[in-house]
Amino acid sequence: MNRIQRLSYWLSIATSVVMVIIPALIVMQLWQVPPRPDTAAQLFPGMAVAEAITQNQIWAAIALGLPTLCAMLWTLFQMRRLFGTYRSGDVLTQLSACLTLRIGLGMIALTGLKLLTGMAQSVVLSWAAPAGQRALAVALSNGEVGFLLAAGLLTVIGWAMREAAVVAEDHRGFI
Amino acid sequence: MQIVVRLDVMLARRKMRSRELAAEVGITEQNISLLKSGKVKGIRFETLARICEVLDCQPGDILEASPTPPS
Repeated sequence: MNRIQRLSYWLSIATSVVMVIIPALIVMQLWQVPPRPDTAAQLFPGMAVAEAITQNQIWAAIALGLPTLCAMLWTLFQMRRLFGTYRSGDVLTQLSACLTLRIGLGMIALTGLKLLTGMAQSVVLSWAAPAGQRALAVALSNGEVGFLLAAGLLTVIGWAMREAAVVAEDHRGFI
Repeated sequence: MQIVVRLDVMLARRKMRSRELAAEVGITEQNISLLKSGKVKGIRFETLARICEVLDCQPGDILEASPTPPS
């Protein structure tokens, strides 16, 4: 087993663990801090939460986070598939190129969704406040900018790998 | 025009099996079979040189250009 296969084996396991842990942590948090008007500020740290927030608004804010969670799990699933492909020795193939591209696009979508989710949640959480005190928060941290750049890089690498896979496939036809 | 591979003819003349040729040349028996059946995209000069060395022949003894039959 070469180093690509060895590392991919461990990364595949790590990705699987993360895919289980993330939803489990969310469920655990909701279990420990049940969504109620008096716990809303705890559930959404760093966000302006109206004092008169309703239960439905809290559930709406939580539901707004679901697309981001789904995008994250989908991206992690593509990563696990890619590590599985590398583990079996298929490095320069159309499949591995396609999965790399999907991971890059997934990460871009994730950044966009996180931004939009944050904006939507800030509106929902502050909607019960009097007019003039409602909030629309738009936040993009340094970490997220770096994440977006890495996502763009991975997308470009996926495209480049597609071309490399075509050449490699052609090369395999020569003896 | 198509390139026809006459490797099986040369193997028969030299009374050699594909397995032996593969071992001498340093490629897999599967690749020799693919070459014999003409199902390869191409052959490297290095591989061709080794085959000619082992079979004591010229490239023209193995490869022949013939008109493509009408479909």
